[in-house]
Amino acid sequence: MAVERTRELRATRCNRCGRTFFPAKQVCPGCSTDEEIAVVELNPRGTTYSVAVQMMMPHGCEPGPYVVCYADLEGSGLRVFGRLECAPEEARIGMPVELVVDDREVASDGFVYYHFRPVRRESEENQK
Amino acid sequence: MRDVAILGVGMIPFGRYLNRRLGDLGREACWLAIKDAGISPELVEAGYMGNAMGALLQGEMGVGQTVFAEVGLFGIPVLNVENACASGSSAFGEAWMAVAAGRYDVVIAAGVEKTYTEKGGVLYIGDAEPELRLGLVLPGFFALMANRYMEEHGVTAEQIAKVSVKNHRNAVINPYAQYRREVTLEEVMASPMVANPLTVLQCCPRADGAAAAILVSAEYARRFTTSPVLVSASVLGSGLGENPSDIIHFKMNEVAARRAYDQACLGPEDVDLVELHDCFTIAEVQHYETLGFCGRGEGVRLLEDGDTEPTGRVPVNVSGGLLSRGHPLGATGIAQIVEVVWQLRGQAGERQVEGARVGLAHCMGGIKGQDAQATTIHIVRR
Repeated sequence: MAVERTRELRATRCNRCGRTFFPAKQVCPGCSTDEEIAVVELNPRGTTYSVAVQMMMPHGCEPGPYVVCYADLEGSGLRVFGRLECAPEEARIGMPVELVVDDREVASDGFVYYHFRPVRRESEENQK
Repeated sequence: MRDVAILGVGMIPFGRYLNRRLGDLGREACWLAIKDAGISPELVEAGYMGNAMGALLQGEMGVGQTVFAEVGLFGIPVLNVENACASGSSAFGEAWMAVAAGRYDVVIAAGVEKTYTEKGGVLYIGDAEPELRLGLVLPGFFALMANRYMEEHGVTAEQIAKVSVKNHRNAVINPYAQYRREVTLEEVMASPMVANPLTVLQCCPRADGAAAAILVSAEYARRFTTSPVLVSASVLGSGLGENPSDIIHFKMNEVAARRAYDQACLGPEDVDLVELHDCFTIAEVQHYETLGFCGRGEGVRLLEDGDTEPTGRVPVNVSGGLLSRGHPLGATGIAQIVEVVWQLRGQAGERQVEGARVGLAHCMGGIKGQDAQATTIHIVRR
């Protein structure tokens, strides 16, 4: 099978069990079918579920500190891991964030690297 | 299924054995277990070896064949079991199954690992999961767990760090532990930060080590002893793959614990001592809850009330746990069972828990989504 090398964040929705998976899955891990899998756009907006500051990174990565988080995405309800592009002291649970594609090449197997960045809530913007 | 007994156990002190090979460490533990069982090695019908990183760190495959040959076990079926940090306990589970099902009467289960390398830092565990590919290290995962736990249950980083104080204190009198020095809460909190709020003294250290056990049918064991140590439950599960999943309470722990208690016809209130997977301080706190020793959010109180101290209601990690013993992946799960067996036999020396009759060993390995890849629970009784 050819490897797709799009830079989009793609999720899959299984039309049999109704569940959404990200990253995309060829076979639905929810009900084990490959017949009704649709590629869907992922709503990148979410809220951090937990945050942490890692002082160490795996081999081959530049040294920390790095902020990491799990965020709950709107719409799909998925809890997704990613690095969070903010200062360690700014990181907190409940932060509005959005998922963005990294400024680097898609991996040879098609994996799209992504991370979170903070977004301003509309209410905060209205106050400005 | 028939009853299975643990006839012999052995382990070497965990530590740094830079100039010794997997075969050397494994041989010592296996030989101790064979001697302890009081059987002749040629009676062993099959061997199960837990090792996770031999191929990656030492370039060795077939570690089981290498080790078992060192004690003269040739020609028998040998199975190498890799289940991340639960490799040893998973190998033990396979050995149990083989005897319980009636396939063999006498088998050996062992675990060996060398995790010390010239380069230190966080152990590399591959990048199959998106989390790992995007830069998550295991201390980071448990830090995410800790921060969410603190938010939901209103506890502090200091309260969680007390697990490290308890387990280091327990290790002082355990000659098999790698770090046998008491630490104060201030020292734990002031030690270098790995992933906030987890400081280095709240993360299990690397270690080299080996442990082994001889399993036999209960009927066979009665030729040697009138009160054998029996395996009452052996459970292996893999992560449930739910998303979103509550990362502060490993779901598979709860499922595995329920299965194990059902199998043993016991409840958490019947357990006299526990060796559990304290890879990080927060892990021990949430294991208290998911294994049923207290309710959700009550783990810190259980600890602060002294219930999990060696003299408490349910002593946890009297050996010092992974936090002090160190964590040679494949050896850890069997070392936990070895400690429990010594305790049930009344052979644990200074760290003996008086009157212990039922012990539980819990081990988990790897990350799959927001759960562990493998979770094992063994309940052992006398």
